[in-house]
Amino acid sequence: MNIRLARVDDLMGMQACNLQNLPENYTLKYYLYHALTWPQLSYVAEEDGKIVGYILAKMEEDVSEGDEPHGHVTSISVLRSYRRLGLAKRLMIQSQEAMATVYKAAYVSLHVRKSNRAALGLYRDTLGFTVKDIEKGYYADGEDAYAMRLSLKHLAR
Amino acid sequence: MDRQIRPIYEALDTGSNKSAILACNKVLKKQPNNNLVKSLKALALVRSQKVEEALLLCDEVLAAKPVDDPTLTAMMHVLRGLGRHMDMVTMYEDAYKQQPGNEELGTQTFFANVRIGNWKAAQQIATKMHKQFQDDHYLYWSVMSALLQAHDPTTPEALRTVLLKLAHRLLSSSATPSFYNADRFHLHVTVLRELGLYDEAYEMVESETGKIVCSGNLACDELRREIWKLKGLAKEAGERAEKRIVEAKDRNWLEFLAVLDGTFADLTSDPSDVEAAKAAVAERIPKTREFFGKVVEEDGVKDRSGHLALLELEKRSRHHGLATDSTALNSLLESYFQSFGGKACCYEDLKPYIALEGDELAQWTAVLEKQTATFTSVPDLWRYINAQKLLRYNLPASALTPEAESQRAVQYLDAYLEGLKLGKDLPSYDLQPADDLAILSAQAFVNIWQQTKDESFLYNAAALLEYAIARSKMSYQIRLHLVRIYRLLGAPSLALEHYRSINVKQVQNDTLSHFVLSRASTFSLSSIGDLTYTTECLESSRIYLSNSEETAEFIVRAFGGEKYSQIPDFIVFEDRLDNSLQRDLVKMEHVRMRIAHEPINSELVDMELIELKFIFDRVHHDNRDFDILANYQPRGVATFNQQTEFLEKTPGLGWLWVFLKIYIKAFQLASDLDDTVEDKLLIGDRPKPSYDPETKIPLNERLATKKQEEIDELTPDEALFYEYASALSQWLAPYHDYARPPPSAVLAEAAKITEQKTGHTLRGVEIPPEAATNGHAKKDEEPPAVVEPPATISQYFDDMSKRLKELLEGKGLPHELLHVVTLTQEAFLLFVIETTRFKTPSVIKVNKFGALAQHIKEIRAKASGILSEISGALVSYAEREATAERRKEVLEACKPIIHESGLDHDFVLNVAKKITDARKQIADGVGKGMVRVTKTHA
Repeated sequence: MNIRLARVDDLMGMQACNLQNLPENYTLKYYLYHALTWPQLSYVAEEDGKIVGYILAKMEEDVSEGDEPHGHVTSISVLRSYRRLGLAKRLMIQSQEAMATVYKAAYVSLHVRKSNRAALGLYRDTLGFTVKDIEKGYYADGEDAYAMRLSLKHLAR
Repeated sequence: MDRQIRPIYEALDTGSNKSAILACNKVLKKQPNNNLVKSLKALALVRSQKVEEALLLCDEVLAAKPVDDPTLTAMMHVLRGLGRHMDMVTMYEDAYKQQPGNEELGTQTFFANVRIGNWKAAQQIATKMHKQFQDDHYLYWSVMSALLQAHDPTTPEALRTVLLKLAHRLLSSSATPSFYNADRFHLHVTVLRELGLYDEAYEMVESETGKIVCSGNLACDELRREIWKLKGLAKEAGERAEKRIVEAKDRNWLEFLAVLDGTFADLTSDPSDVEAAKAAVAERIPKTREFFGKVVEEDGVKDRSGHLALLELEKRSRHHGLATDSTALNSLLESYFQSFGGKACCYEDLKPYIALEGDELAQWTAVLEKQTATFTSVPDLWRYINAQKLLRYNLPASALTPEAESQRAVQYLDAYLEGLKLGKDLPSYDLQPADDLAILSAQAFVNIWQQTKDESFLYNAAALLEYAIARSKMSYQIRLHLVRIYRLLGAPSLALEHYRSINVKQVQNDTLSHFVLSRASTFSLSSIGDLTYTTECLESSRIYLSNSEETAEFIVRAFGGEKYSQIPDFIVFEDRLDNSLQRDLVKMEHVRMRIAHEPINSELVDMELIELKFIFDRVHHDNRDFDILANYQPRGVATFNQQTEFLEKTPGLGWLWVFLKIYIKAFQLASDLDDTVEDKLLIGDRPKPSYDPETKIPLNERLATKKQEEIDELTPDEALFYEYASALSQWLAPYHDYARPPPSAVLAEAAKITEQKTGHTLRGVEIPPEAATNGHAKKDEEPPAVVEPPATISQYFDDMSKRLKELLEGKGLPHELLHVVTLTQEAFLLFVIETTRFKTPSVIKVNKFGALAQHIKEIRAKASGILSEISGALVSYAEREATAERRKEVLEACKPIIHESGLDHDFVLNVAKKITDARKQIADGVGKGMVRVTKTHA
């Protein structure tokens, strides 16, 4: 298993990870924009040349007044057969470190489906995120999302 | 002025092109020469598909050579909309020439060249800008452009080194060192690497500052790793990797590979003294084993890397004849299975190490067979699944009799049903952990079908997978299996339904649409006006349009933001999508569906001719993902992907080439366009000339060349069709060439139509007076004598009629039946395309083609007759399908999998109904469509 920076031509492989996952719909443009704007924040996990997981992350662009600069996890995905191997955690930590050191992010935020207990467990118990808010009807199918965040102050250099 | 222009912009922004045009007209009444307003009107026209009028305005503005920013920006959008990127370059170049001190114009000229990949001009502009504006980033633009020109496939070999040396020289002239910016540093080291200056590159990455840059930028660090490798520093890299594994707790597999490569470096670097090298490596192996052992001790089951590294070490030791302990591999495998058997990836992890024989295999098998189908937790279940997959991998041919496989299929299925209990509380979008057992069962059934050709085994596979998908709705794996099986069973509507449920989006369209669109015209009902599959072709092809609109802009932005390390990636990505093989395979299918549905007139013929000719000059990339389809078949038999391919032939480049040759030839004969006319009527740029030497051969020669490796990709029926098509076009070519109106007459006609449509004459076309008056100009030569048609042509229809009878009597699967039938219809349509010209009585009369008309009439009558016959046979076949009897047959066939509850009699009967109904629908539709096609073209 190898974690490395995501490249533009990984897109075809990254998409395969998305097949079985939640029906988010990101356009070509959106991926390319991530790759170009925050190239240090997105990673892929590779096994024998096959992409088995990825994290797509960015810095929040509209930081409201009084808020600090912070990162946001747009999408994280691990192929079913490569779950429970600590992969998501490694991808997440890699990206968080870059957020803190490259962009001086104070914290990282993400959204998760209320019903997704496995992911919730990972974010809260393994990675130490806390629930900040509930966003009603966040997902296209009407499901609510938990807005979660994690301080990155301990990583600041 | 501003007050008048603002409403135009607002209208454009909100997409109300009509009111934008009205607002423009209002201003133009008073100021007919306002270029900004003209270009805005052109933009509104382009966006409302009124291309001819837009062209006129566009050319007027370009002729005025504008320099003001608003006009240039508006024109940029107009030209992009028209696909005239070359004109965009000229426009900016002209503007920059008029105002050479304008930095923004220089930048835009550079970007215009970047968009079309014109690196040579881009490099020259950047160099000029660097001299003039003294900003370092122009220097790096210039270096990057030189590097890209060196990489361009059209650049001659000798020029490449010259360009790289130029880049090198430019870099050394920089006022600031490249390490100020990681991407500039990356570019610098890349140029050194390309020139083979590894020592210099090594010095750079290992310098004080270089180390800092590499530690903070993964792209640079990857480059550093490569430089080490190129310098042959495998041992040193191994040592460095050991340190990272111990000190930084790095568990990236690349580090472990570096340690392994270092261990065997003496042997893999072509040693002069092999024995000495062997001895050195033999000494190092135990040390590496000890090192990995410590990692395993420390990590336990938290990380797989150390465990896998030990397996890889053993494998490589054996490969070099340096293994000392013959029991080592077995015990490593066993311990890996003990530690990670409960993880889903265990099978994929161990696959490279388990091709065992003899005693080793027996011992390994015994270990796996201890896993019984009693499980109380998900890891238990996974351990059982992994054991089954690992056992199956090594099954010898003797263990694969239909009886043994049947037994296995049922055993997998029973375990699956048991395993479902463990996942009964999962949310609806989650996957069942037992899914892979259902897939194993389906693959075993498919394997029996392969041996027996008895389709009842496919029904079993389909029914049990339908049961599984209802319990695991998001499983794309199960759906892809169903897609494949339903295509074989001739139930395309069900295949498409499952494919659409996967919710394929964006780039996935390129990699996955082959599952439903490969040879999709076989399953299309366009002949009776059902455009489901036709629409699917268009939908899946949208990604290519957004690619060509968007990716080039990202390349421009990457230059703007100096992200040099990413630029080559963007270019590769754009190229792979733009020249995707799947894109053009789908295009070909779309043409094949189109001709069965639309009137065959010059509009269709001319447009497709031009497009197919463009495709014929492309260098393709195959991005199709076949590996995504899981394969659990034993190592001695074909993969599941191969087993379920349409008639065992995957269309590839060769297939595409054959069909392009067939259709370009047919459209070329039918069309009045010759190259000179085409040039005048073409809107937008021609594609970049291809670097493939074959495209330099004259088109007609290329079309006539038959290559065995291309024919090998065809099914036998397609090969027959190819022979038919060649005979047909060879026979008719001389008459077409003689009867085709001269270019001047064709242009006159086009000009007349344009004038009727727009009220303006066609730009750049002068019509000689005699051409405009008479379509049938007198010819100097006598018309070619009419000869008998080759027997192949009418024989083809007899042969296909016979093929169908064989299939209906014998055991052909429904997809094979549809294949034969749709090809016969296609042959008829090809005949129609190539004979439409001779339907006009005056053409026959003027050219004295009376005898030809008679031959054509006879063949058409014969073909129509056979098509009607086939149609009748298909319609009655369809009726037989949708009967209670047929459903009962399917139900009977599924006995092995029917259970008392859940996957019960009623469930299977329901699947049987779906399959037979779908089959009826396609056979009936294709049958009725054939009659309609013969009537349309009577």
